[in-house]
Amino acid sequence: MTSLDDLTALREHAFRWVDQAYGEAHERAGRGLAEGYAPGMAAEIAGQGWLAVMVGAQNGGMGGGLREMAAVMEAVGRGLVAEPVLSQGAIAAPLLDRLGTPQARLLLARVLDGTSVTVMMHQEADAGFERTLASSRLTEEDGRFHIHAAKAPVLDAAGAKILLVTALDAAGRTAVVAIEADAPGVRLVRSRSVDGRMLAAVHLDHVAVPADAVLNAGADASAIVETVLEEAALLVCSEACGAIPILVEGTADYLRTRRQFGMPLASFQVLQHRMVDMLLAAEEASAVVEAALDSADGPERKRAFALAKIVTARSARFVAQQAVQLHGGIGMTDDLKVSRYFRRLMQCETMFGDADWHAERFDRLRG
Amino acid sequence: MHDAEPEPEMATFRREVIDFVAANLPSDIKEKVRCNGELQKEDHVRWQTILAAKGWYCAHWPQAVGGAGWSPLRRYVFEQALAEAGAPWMLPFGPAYVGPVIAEYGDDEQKQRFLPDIIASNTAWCQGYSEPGAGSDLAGLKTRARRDGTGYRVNGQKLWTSFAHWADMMFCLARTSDEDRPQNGISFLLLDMRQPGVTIRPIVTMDMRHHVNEVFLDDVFVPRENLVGREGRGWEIAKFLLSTERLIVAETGKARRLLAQVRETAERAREGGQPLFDRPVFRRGFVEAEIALQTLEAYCSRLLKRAALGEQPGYQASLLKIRGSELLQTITALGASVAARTGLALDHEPSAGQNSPPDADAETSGLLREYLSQRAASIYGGSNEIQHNIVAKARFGFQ
Ligand SMILES: Cc1cc2nc3c(=O)[nH]c(=O)nc-3n(C[C@H](O)[C@H](O)[C@H](O)COP(=O)(O)OP(=O)(O)OC[C@H]3O[C@@H](n4cnc5c(N)ncnc54)[C@H](O)[C@@H]3O)c2cc1C
Repeated sequence: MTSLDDLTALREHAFRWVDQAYGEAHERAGRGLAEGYAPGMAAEIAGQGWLAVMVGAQNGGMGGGLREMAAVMEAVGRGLVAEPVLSQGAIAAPLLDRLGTPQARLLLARVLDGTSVTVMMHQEADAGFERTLASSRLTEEDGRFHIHAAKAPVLDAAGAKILLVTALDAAGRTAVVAIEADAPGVRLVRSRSVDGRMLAAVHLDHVAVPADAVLNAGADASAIVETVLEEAALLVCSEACGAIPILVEGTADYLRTRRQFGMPLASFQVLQHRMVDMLLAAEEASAVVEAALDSADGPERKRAFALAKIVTARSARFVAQQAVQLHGGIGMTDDLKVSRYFRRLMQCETMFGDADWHAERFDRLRG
Repeated sequence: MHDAEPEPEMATFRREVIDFVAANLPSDIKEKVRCNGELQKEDHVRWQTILAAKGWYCAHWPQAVGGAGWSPLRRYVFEQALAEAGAPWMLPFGPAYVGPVIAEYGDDEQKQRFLPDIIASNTAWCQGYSEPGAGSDLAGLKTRARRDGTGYRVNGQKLWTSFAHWADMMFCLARTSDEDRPQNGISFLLLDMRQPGVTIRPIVTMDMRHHVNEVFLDDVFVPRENLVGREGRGWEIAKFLLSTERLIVAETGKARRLLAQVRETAERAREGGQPLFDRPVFRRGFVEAEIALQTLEAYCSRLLKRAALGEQPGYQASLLKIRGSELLQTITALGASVAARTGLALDHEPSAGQNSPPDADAETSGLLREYLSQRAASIYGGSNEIQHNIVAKARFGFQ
């Protein structure tokens, strides 16, 4: 665990980097590319250590935790960073680190040095937001493994070298299988996400896998996978918390400068009140995310995480919609950042379950 | 004034329209509408021509100018049935906007020159009102038309001009003199888009489509005979145009179609082993949207019945606009929620010829795209904030 000073420095450094080095041209660079991001920039980001934040020092990481990664994700949201940070630093890296098997550690090293984008594929194609595995199977016969699964579209998978596919083995244990994206029998179905990044679903029809690709080495990885998903859901809230204030401040500035009817829009009371409601939504989102981070090691962890996702998702939607509304026509344009934050926040809102899904969970998790 | 048309007759007419669409809408156009694909100008023209042959294009115009003199109620039933049946959105600029204006304020020569070409889909129109500095405050417009020989020279910039890139003509508001009130001194001009000095720059909106444009007017000539009504009376004409639109601002037919589509996609989508549509939280949201739709339909009917008895709606039109836009936003948000289950995909890699239509993914993405574009519904044509202001003033006298 790093000290508070280190945490502050990390956050400030990350914010400064997105503000000064990561511009609009970078943010949009991936749009025309098959990966959905600029591979060169992805390597640069790996180089500054963002993907190693949650990885233990023994595996070449920073030994940080959720708080540190939350700071990085806030910067990602603030700057609309398109390169794979969440999928690497918040999901694949901690997953491989916690699996800890020799093969997992090898793959981890390549995630951290940016040479191999690695994406976890867990959600099944027909699962919706549900996380339980039902049809993904890993079978073994005479020491030869086969995997059979249909996984839902996942961000960054279109540019991935390695897919970390979860499946149930014959004993009902959760296995994590590393599959090369271009291996025979792997069918990727690509699509472009609403925010311009790329998604891919994967279909594996009884694909043969070498024994060392089964990263859990016979242990049940379900708890590790569940923890990773839970934390990813919280970290995507941090991403939203980085983006939301940009919209709040940007909209307030616009209302101060745009004039209609001979006066600034800011002089219309209904818009003043709307701004206050946007601010409230922003403050609440930051508060529940902070509370979740504070409760991460306590008994209320799961409910606190669910609450964070519920409130942040609602805040993200409200702030984004109102930011567009208060900008008027210009808010609708792709060229203005407001609409790009709007679309990114749609991802933050719904990835790993939307507000409704987490509200049901919040209820079920009552002690 | 029209006699109130009995309801059974309207129900029959609605059925007739829906059947007509089923039998006559070309299948490629139908598929584009279903998946919210990118309709081309040619698609619109093809469909308009089919409607015109049936006598159903511009039928709400007075008979004297080539229409069928439909009542507002019949027009409403017609337009909602068309949209519900999956016909393309009717580009309103010619038939719904400038046509009625020319019929009301134009001279005989203008009626002859412009109206038959609208009915025949020979000319496409666009609306040049908004400008960089004149959005909600339209009277703040700066485009100038200065007298020059046999007409005007127009200079200025229009913004958000929908489908200017398809248009042959633009009806626009331009300042012909400076008066005490900004609303005075504005004239209603018909401007030929195919001439030097007209520059169109596309604007891509967040649905990643090109519908709107910036239009630069640099010493563009408008002949005197393209002034509609009297010089300086453009504001009054613009207000008349709004009044003709009053009762059809709420797109309940489109809402019905989209809601049905949300249901179909949610029945196909699965969550935790069951159809998403059967999940209680999702279903609840769906039911709320259905309630909002039927409430709005009831309100439209109530106003249309009263209009048929000669009671013209006033501020109620603003209420329809508010609820109509909110409803489309609510319904498409449900569509986005279906799309969220599979990662919010907006565009799909063309599949290797395997997916024959109906393509469920394309339909879900279409709803998602519609969610993005419907954010504009509470902005254009008088934003929802402006509609609230109008009602507060008109109904309660609040200033
Ligand atoms: C997709 C799209 C298509 C369009 N097509 C056309 C077209 O074909 N032709 C055309 O002429 N125009 C068109 N428009 C323009 C549209 O009519 C304007 O966007 C609209 O009038 C709002 O103006 P604005 O964008 O300048 O916003 P602004 O007027 O700057 O408003 C910004 C915000 O301030 C609020 N606001 C403004 N004044 C007040 C007030 N007094 N009280 C409270 N709140 C206020 C508004 O509600 C809004 O939320 C289109 C717009 C869009 C988005």
